[in-house]
Amino acid sequence: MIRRPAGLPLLSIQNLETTIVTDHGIVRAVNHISFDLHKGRTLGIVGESGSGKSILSKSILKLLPKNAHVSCKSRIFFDGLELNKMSSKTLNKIRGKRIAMIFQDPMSSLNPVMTIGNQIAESWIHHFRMKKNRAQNRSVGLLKSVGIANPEQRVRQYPHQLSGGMRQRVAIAIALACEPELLIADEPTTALDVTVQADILDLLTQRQAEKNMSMILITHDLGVAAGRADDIIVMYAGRIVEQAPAGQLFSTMRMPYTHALMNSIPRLENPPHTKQNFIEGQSPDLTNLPGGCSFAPRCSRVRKRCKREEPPLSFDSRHDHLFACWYPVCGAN
Amino acid sequence: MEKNLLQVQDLTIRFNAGRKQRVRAVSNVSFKITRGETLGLVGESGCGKSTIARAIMQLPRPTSGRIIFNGEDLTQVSKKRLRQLRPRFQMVFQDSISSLNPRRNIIDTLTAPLNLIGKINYGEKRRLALEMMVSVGIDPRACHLRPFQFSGGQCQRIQIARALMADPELLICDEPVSSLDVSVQAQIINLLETLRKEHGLTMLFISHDLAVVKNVCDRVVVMYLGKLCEEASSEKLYRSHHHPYTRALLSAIPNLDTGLLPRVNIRAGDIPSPVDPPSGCRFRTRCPRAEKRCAQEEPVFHEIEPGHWVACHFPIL
Repeated sequence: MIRRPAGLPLLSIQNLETTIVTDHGIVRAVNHISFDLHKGRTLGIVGESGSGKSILSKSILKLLPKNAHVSCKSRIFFDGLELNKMSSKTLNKIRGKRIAMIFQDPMSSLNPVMTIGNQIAESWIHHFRMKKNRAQNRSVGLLKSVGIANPEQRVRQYPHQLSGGMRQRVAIAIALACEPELLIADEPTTALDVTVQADILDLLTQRQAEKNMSMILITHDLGVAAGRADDIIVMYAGRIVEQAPAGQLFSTMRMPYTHALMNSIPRLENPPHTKQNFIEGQSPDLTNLPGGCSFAPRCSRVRKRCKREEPPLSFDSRHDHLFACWYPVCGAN
Repeated sequence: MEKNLLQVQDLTIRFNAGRKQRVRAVSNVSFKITRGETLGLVGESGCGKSTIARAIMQLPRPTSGRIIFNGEDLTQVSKKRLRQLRPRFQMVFQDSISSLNPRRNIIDTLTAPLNLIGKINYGEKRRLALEMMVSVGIDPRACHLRPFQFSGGQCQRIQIARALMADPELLICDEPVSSLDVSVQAQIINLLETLRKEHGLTMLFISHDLAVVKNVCDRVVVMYLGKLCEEASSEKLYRSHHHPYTRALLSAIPNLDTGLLPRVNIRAGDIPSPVDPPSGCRFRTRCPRAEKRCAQEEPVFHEIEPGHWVACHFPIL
């Protein structure tokens, strides 16, 4: 059994519900999500595209588009502060300083007309009123620490002059500039090659250990989450369908969706021309969620009750392994 | 009938990079694909995988080298002959949505390749297109919709259907599944496999995901910075590879059963530029096994055991 850290969680999300108003109706992107994240721990959030992973992370920092709304019943606590009740002015003192974020696409998250050095220095100037010269000098050191060669030259360059992997390193440098307590990494390596991906993830893990930082690692790749996260949340159609410590989740999956997702990953040990397992059907329409379990139409274990009643997120044998299923998969994977 | 459907010999492709600089995107690459085989082409982004695919399609014609398709050198044939040959080799592109014409409905997209073949009346073309839609798993009632009305996975199916309309012998797939979710990815892999059997296709499958390649391909070619590093049957490549780069790629795969291979650290931060590639072995700047000789002498791509080729002075044995 993994020892749980004592004390209050750094981040506590209670009953988070985010809806987006569109021409086609109200999209229920995030439905009644609750979880805690303790200091120094990594939470992996896994799910297919459209499962609400990114909206969830953006809800925390109120970085949502204008047509998205966080329900007034939702509560987001960060170190005792209630984030979703804050004015944006107060929230700006936390964004980038105590909670930082890395986005999926480093090209569009960096400013194309600002030098790398200025973009890093910006957060020190803004949050600590540091002198511009000093901040720029410091950015050289920071770039070096995230593994960028020739940082003295790089600080004067623009994002388009860097490769994808280097841009993501710059994005990480910006996020780490103020030594945040919580880092939200939204698919930080999806656009990158496997070799670069491994490097970037190593860098994140190393920096996390040094600063005792907490991290939310959002990914669609179960393999990435398996190696890096302490706890894993699996999302489907805006809900948490399974939540457990990483080792526990991969040794005994309870939710049929997690099981199916895991089985559809191509395995290295398969011979050529192997027929792949896949999940039948498509993700549900979030404007019109089916009653009962949202995975029921695609589930191989579906029974009558699944279509009638929505299964609550609960546990049976282990209190830290939660799943939302009436007829869970039993035993070892 | 030739045994090798496609033979690529000494293929070199250069681009102008401005300021009088020339990029050698691909240098002296040779490989062949036998009839009915699926060949995988792997490597990091920027190593020239897609450039090779485009060169085979003659988009644009390569700088030098020969591309022999079924006994005919595509780089030498006349434009008219090339047009006649085109239906026999088709391509599936990486970004499915942007490679479909947004203003054309699906039925028009699918019937367009048939115009290359010769005179077929519209009713017949339409019938063939609808049949193809069924076989790739798209509801034929959706034939009047446009690409933006489909999801990424569906667009990829439509693209595959378009490539197969002209009934090609060779299908080149350039990262067909890399932008898709795992469950959709599995569906597309299965679809390609079914169609391969049905149509007797020979395939060149380009991907940066080695696990996918292992599940799809008979033989694999590994590329680095425009050159071939290793070539072997896919089983062999995964079990007993000889090139340190192949080892590095394999060990970087985030795996559920961690500890499959000891992790090889290659410095990803400094991928050299193809404008000015390193002397000798191109991989030496990142190679954990590099020695003096690697900088002085370029390793020859040689057969280390039957059917297993490698370009390294100090292969892993």
